[in-house]
Amino acid sequence: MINKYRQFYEEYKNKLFRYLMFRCGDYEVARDIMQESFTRHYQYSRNSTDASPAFLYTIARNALVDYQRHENNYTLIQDYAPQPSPDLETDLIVREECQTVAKAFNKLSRADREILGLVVSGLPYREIGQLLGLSEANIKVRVHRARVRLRDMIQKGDN
Amino acid sequence: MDYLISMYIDNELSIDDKIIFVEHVHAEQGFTDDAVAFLEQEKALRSALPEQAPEVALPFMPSPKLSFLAPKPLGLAFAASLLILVALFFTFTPQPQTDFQPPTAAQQHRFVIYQSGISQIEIAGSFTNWQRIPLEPAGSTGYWEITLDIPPGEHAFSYILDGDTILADPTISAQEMDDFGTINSILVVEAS
Repeated sequence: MINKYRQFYEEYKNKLFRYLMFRCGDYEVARDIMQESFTRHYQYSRNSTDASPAFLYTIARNALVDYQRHENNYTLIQDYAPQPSPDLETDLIVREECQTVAKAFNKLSRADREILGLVVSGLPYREIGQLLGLSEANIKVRVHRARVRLRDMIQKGDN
Repeated sequence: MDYLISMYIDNELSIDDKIIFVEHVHAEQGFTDDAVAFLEQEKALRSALPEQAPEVALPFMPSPKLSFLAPKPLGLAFAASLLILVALFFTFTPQPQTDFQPPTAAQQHRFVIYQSGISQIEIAGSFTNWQRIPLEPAGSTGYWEITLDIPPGEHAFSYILDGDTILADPTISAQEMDDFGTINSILVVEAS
């Protein structure tokens, strides 16, 4: 099981970390919750034949809720830090675009932020459906509606 | 049918969906414009997220091996013995006293950080003996920068905002906590 679980970890570690970064915006917190989530998930999964991504994300989301309740911190995307390029002007333009999107993202409803956070971090619709208890068809509609609302929010911000 | 754009972005299209998607792109300019706009939006949304998760200790992952404890082949052991003998020979050979030190080719490294609404940013690290050196603002862009000579090796450093807030470099994923609980960034400079 341990080798199988290592494969699972390699497949999901970046996805889960990106999702956590979306939700809390803090590198250290995201790293700690990722570590805790995989550790607890492994303890539950070590005697079963398959590791469930939906269960991993449930553990991570609960840990995040505990953290946010404790810290009284409900801000999602806190700061955008794109990788710097040698061209400062390009950096500035990229940063401004990111900040505009981040600002609009933070104004979305919690449900929209949640579903966009999951899909942008790379989780397939099928697994998001399992996690949220919704059908795959429902997820594809919800994801697109969330993107449309994000676009509307950006346009509203620009005006 | 607009949700096909999201399915395209998220790699969720089946073969049949792809046919419909391409037909829409060819037939409707509005659909194409929407697709491009959503892709740009997605790019901005994703660009801030780190591609790689940091390395963490986990019970199911192997611990880092201590390579110097690993058994070595006999050939290597023989070579190592020879080296020790040669070293001993030179140790007991009188050497002229000089102040010569092998050159440690320091390399110039540019540090750039974005912080708006800040009046001063300094950098302190193992390469400055933890002395604070102020960064220069790059116009009014919110970017601050400084170029320093850094010797090869592994260095820890942090930025200090307005004299009291310590911030690790957000663009460097390698970090470690020092004995005082401060998170420092880790910069590795390769020997040229």
